[in-house]
Amino acid sequence: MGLKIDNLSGGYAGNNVLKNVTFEVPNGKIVALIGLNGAGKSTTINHVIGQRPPYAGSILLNDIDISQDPTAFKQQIAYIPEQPILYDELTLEEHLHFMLASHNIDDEQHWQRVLVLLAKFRLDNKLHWLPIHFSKGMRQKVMIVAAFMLNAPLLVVDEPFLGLDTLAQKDVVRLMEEQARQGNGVLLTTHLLGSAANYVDTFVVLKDGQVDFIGSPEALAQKHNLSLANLDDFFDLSQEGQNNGPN
Amino acid sequence: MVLTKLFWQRFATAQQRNIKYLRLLFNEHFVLFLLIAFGGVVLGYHSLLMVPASSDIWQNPWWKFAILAWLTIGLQLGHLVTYFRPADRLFLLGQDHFLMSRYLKQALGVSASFASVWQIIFFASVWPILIAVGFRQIFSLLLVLLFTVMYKIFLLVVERYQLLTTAKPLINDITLKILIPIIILASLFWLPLFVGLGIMLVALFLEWIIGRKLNAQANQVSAALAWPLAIQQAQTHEQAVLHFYALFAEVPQQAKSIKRRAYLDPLIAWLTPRRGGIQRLYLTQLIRNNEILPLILRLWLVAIIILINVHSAPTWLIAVIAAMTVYLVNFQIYPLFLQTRQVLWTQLVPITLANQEKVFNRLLFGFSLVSIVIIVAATVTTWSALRAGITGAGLMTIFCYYFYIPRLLKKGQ
Repeated sequence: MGLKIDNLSGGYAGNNVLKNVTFEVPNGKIVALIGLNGAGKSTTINHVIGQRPPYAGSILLNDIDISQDPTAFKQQIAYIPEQPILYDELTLEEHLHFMLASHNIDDEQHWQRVLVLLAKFRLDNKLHWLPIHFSKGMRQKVMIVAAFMLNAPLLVVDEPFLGLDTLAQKDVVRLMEEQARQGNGVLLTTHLLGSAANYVDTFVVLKDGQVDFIGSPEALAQKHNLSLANLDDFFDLSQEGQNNGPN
Repeated sequence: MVLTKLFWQRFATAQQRNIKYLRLLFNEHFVLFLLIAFGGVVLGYHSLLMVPASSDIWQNPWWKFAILAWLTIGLQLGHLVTYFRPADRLFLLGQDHFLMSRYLKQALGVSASFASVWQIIFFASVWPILIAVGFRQIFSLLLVLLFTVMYKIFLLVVERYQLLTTAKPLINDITLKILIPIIILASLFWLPLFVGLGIMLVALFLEWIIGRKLNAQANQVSAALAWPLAIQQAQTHEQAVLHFYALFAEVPQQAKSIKRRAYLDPLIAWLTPRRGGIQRLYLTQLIRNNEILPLILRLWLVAIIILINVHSAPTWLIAVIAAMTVYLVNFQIYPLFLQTRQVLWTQLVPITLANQEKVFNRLLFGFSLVSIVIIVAATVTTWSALRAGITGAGLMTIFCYYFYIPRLLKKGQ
């Protein structure tokens, strides 16, 4: 059980960006989707969160098919986008209440957990602020709190560390690990492979819209003769391989 | 891109945008409503001018105050239009002399032309009243026009000067834009004619001297542009233009303006008991949105004023005004649904689109009911007006709730 993507083909505006993408995010595991710009990471994420319907293939989360029942599918997802998106008119507190209500989560029972998260990201004294008063990093923290408070079966995180201070970055990693320990799946995209190798269970490498590799950080490092600490060099090697390829 | 043509290219782009929005605007039903209202005003003005010049009505001293106020309002219209964009600060950083001596000169020329047209329109609209209240000499009338045009150009020259890094505050805005023109125009109205004309001629001469001095400073090789100020000025102007179009049509690039209005939180909570529900999302957005809510309030106010004044008019007219009020309230709130849909969060939450549409339509229905209450309050003194108002507004509420809004919502998907 967990997220199952099977032979997914998709894209936008008629462009077939993804070709037969197949991978899984089992419950309790952290899977990182990696690849160079344009490889299809964001397109995959957009299909998973129901932003775009697949051209072909299926996306199932705990046996619920996104094409069959998108609302029940989305009930199981929490999402942290690369760019924070908030309602200009709602305060931080109102955003969180709206998110809880839309996921049919009991506000009263859950609020204590929300307050803990807010304190962790130093937002607890900004409950009545409007987004216009937040810095970019703070806006991103709001998205993070809103996602983690749901404790959803699948957490989808697109470039989680952009605009965050180091303290918040560490907290996000700890929270993702905690989600996995609780049996939830985590699907993230990142370019920071070296540090991701410390907490990710599986890397899915996308290249030109196709799955190029699936395996553990150790297997990825071994395949490219790299140590885990040097895994950030993977993109250099991958680019060289492409440049030296078919001429 | 040829730098010397930069202003004209931007001017052409801005005009294309204006044409696009004007086309949009004249497609909207609201404009039809405004044209009817404008026709009514013209008709009323025409009947006023039919009153003979010998009538007592023209002896009322308030006419002169009204003309003074009208011409002063006219002087506030038209600003220096530079079309500066935030990226100019980087890309045109070393072009200060070109910008001051060429670009802003072209900008000043165009702005002065448009502003002069405004002054002529404002003057022409009170010309018959000026004659009726005693200004019968064509020379003095033309001098009033010349003064307003020249003073407006002078204000634009000051506006350009204020974009210099070396600009020093001249006098405060209220004195410059309101008090000085009022004093000079008032001297013409209340002092002996030759004294008033003398003051006006002296004022024109002083304007010319100061304007020349400010021009010379702007054309100096050492003149540098205060970029943050220049960009802010350009953006404020652009937003004002978009705001005008947004009164009648949906404008995509318009920056949203939000006001917290915390004192209305209890009202939101009372109207939407479920904390965090999508009803509350829509209502909160509407109440804190600084574009839509004031527009609705103005619309209600205009409806009250019109209905009170036409209570003895034919009942069909009252019914049409009442129906139009309900229609416009629905029409003006509708873009909120599209704006909300554009926020990714709304697309991600597990609330079906059909449910979002249903809740939004119900919100509009609530606003239609409030409109009916207002219409009842405005027509309650006359039974026939009350009946016509309720009929018109009621039928339009049903039409909007069951047909018009569901169709619009489907179209907007």
